[in-house]
Amino acid sequence: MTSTAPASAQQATPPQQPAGQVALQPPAPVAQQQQRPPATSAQRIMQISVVTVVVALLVAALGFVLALNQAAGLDRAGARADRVLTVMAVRSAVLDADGAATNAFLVGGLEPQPRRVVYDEAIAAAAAGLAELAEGADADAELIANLNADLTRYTSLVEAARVNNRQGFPVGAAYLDQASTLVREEMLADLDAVLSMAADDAASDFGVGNLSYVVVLVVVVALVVLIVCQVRLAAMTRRRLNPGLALATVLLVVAFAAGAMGARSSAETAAAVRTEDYRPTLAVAQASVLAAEARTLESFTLIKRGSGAAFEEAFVERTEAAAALLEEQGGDLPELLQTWLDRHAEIRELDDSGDWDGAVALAVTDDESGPSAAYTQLVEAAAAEIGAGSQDVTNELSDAVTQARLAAWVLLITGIVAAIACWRGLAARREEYR
Amino acid sequence: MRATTTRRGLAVGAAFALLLGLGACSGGSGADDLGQAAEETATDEPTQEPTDTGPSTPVTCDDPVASYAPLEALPAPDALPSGSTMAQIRERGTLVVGVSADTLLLGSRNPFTGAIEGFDIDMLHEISRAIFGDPDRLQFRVITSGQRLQVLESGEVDLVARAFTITCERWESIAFSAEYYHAGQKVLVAEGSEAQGLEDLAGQRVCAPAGTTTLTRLEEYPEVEAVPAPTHSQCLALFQQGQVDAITGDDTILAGFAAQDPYAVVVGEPISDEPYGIGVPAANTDMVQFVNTVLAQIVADGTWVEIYQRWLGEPLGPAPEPPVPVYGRTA
Repeated sequence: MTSTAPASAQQATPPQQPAGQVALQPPAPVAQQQQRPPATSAQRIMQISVVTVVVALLVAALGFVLALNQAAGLDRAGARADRVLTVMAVRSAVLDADGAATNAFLVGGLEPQPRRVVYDEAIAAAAAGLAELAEGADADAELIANLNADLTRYTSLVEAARVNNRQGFPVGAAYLDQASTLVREEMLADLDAVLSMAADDAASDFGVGNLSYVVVLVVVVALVVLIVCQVRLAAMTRRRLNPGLALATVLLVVAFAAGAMGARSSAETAAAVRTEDYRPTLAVAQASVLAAEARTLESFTLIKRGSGAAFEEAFVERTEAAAALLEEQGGDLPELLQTWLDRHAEIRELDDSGDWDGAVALAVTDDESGPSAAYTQLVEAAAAEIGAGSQDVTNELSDAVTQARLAAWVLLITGIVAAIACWRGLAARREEYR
Repeated sequence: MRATTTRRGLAVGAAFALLLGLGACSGGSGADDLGQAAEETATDEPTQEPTDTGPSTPVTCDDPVASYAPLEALPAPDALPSGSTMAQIRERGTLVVGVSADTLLLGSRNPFTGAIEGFDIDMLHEISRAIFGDPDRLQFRVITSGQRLQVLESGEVDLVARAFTITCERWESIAFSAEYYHAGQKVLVAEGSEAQGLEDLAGQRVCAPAGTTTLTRLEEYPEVEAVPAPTHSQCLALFQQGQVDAITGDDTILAGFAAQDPYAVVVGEPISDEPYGIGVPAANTDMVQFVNTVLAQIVADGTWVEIYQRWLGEPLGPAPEPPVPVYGRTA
């Protein structure tokens, strides 16, 4: 590079006679451009000044925008990860309500108070979740409106079932059936649609995190420009180093390295949050939803007295999927699930041997060693884990956001300082050639 | 120099564009985060029971209500013919029966006790008594109307007593006992309705359970909009929600509905004969003969009237003469 630079600058007038040259030059550029005559030294100095300043400013602006964009993306990713978990929570709540309602039906006319409490709480949770989802609704607004309407319909069907049950009217079973069908065939399908939209949104925002390579490239290009400019300048002025440009170069190298690292580490944090917190939390939430579905099916195997085989098949399918999800995550959830499945097996054993009454008694008992208690333990443990996981996602993403914001400002300020350094560093040269 | 600057500018721009493009690539979709794309767990709805609508061409036979002749005398529970179906059931310990759990008066689950009870159920208790000397050795399988043939054909149950009308078509795949109750199809409408029968319900929505003779007969009234439902009770729920204007069904079943809803009334004369029989797998003719013997005995000793009074006496009036059994079928 140093060997070619002097060649291109060989027509440069020695800096020893700057004054005369500058005086002659002003009208020249326009006239000379047509014939591609060599630019004067003053022009070149000016060009170098402008190029370096522009490059530094461009880099500052670009770095700032990219890093801020990354911060905004991660911020959204956090909000959207929350939304995904809220959809899951609504799904679980609706299924819990249905599970409690169907299980209570097994008891007969007057439902046991604990079931009623579970049902009421689940409905309240579902309503609150839907309200939360409605706030951030976009393309899924209509689905969420449907879900709200369906939840109202669902509770009124369950009330009708309840009122009829209390009077001993078998039509209560028909209402309960309608209610359950509404949940399984309409509400779950709508929730699945909302869920996949939310998950896709979150996924695309997690992806925004990875802009560090762009930042690095910007810096490399800027450094190349700065170095080329310095080489030219050195050739023109016969001075090895321009302090301003050198300072700018060092600033860019150091600060941008730091900025790029910040952006990168922010992206890495986001990626880590995604694989180490977000996905495991989603898996537990999914398992919990599957378990809630299976819980309703457990009741139906008994309600459809003797015709529960199809429900049992579906039960096994759901719980096996849940077990697979929980197995990957470890912890004590797989064990809790197994406990519930063991208790469930006892119900099936009684029912299959013809002791339906015994099976129902076991299914509805609130005894510590009963299946209901085992299920409750599983659900509570899963809820705690989902809550903690969701908190981790939020916290760690907000760390990543802070890092990206910091990187943005470091890049901006460094770029501006570098631009100033370039301009000021070349001020003396510009003076010389004026 | 200007040219090189331009070229360099282009190159830098291109590099930026390329890297911005790369940077915009995301790492995995929402489905990846959810673990799998195929999470759509096959929603093979277990509630949707298969319904047999049967062949469209009516099957004819000389006399559908003719069943196999009863035994000369009812054997004692501990003296059942060895190797017979009854002996095998006794060996097994329970009589597996297909019933309804939501047809008030005939077979419904008492929400207070959890027990399934009704006219049909009491018939089964009598058969249990004849086999085991104990009326309560029943193992219930709750089925829908549409499942009645299927559970008998597959041998999953020993008997079906579920408002089961004897028809020639059904004789093709299963066997029936002699008639044990004579029902007729009527219509249930809202109180205050002027309709007195299906002919007055043109253009209205009328509900009937799928897989029943009721629905088949409803199809003979093309001006009525037929609405099938999985069970009788679903019809009542739809009626109470205003989604159907009327329900048609056997008078026994409709009586059970009227008992649950003071704003529903059963109107008109029966438009059909619905002879109820107990369904038995086609091969078990010995069981049919045994059941016929039990039925003849409970008619003779007054148990039949007693059971009628318990369930149907109040809504349907005093006990009619029990149906006269017709025998003479040969296998």
